[in-house]
Amino acid sequence: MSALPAAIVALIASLRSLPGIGPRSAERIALHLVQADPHAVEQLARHLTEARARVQLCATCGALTETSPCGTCSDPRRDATFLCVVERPTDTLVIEKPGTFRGRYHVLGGKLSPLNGIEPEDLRIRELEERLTREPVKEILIALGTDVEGDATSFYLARRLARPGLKISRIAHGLPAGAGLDFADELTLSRALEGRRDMKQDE
Amino acid sequence: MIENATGLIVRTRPLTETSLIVQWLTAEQGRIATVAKGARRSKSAFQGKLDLFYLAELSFSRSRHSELHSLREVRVIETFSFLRKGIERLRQACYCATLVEQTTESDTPLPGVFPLMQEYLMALAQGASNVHLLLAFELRLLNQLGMGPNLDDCRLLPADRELAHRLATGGLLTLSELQPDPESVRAVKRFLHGFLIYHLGRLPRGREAALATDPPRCSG
Ligand SMILES: [Zn+2]
Repeated sequence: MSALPAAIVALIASLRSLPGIGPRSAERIALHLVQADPHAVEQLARHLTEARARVQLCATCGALTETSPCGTCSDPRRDATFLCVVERPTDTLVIEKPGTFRGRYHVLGGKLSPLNGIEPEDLRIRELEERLTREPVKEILIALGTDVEGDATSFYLARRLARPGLKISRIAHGLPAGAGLDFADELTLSRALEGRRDMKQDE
Repeated sequence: MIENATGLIVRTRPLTETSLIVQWLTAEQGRIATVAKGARRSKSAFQGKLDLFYLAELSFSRSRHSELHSLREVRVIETFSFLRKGIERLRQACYCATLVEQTTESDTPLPGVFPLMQEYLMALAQGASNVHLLLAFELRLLNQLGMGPNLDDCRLLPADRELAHRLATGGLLTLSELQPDPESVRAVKRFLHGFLIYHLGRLPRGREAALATDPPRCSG
């Protein structure tokens, strides 16, 4: 069997650096591309470069956008008094999915991680504090991950952002919908117990 | 070959979209790295069991050709949940883990280091002022590794030397009640600063932040 042409080898190497693409998939895609309609491949290449060139981070909230400020930040129907703090730009897409959150966002750009040298000044916390002086924010919903570093970041934020007239809440953590108690691990269960809610008749 | 151990998780990082590399500090096997296959999937049996400084019983298959062993089962004993409630103590625990990483080799038994780290986390859980506790950890780790300073033949003043001796001996848990003279604490801190640079070539990352005494690092 003859060796692969250098151009295909280089293409495979590029594809392999993409998430979720292993050596076999990379080779399959590369071999498909070099035999495909040249116009289709040109279009793919154009879409790749255009998407990368156009998509940026919103200067206000830090979400992915083509215009800054982004659609959410400039939409007058979104509740400007309610701010949801997330770790990564893609987390805003997750919160948007159920369609129940009507406030705005603030992307931190990471979480505190002493082991990796990520300290408060490496996150967009100062930008968040500036927004609090400019925007009519009344409630901040902290929606970070629940691992040790995520929790430590949430606690740090709650303490640093505390000011009169500002409510700071965290998304509730508990049992996955539709799951039985026997499937929950101990930590999830203890959090669900900590975050228990009153069951009032009128709710 | 399947092995069992009791260990503390000292680092985790994603390997693929579904699997996680988990580094452990154990007594008999020392520092080991395991891959937890599927751990990043929401329905994994590892879900909620693998996070920083969890103390757990684990079983793993030792790899014959690499230093990355395969994690099979985990039973969490202690989560040290206080680390979630303040970045200061998390910083200190992380610094200690970094120091262990920098001063020891992987896959080499560390019979004294594992209980030291465990005892340190227990002492840290008691709160109070932690700077001298962290200096005690540094001194004890260096002693464990046979590279500790000779306190009787160093430039510390008698009172500071006495504190250093006190920090290096006895139960770590009793040290959280100790209220040493701040001047002596500063002297021991400076002494170890120089000692670590001299012996390690550079100061381990995070020491300054871990030893900063002011609680929250707020701006304005
Ligand atoms: Zn925006």
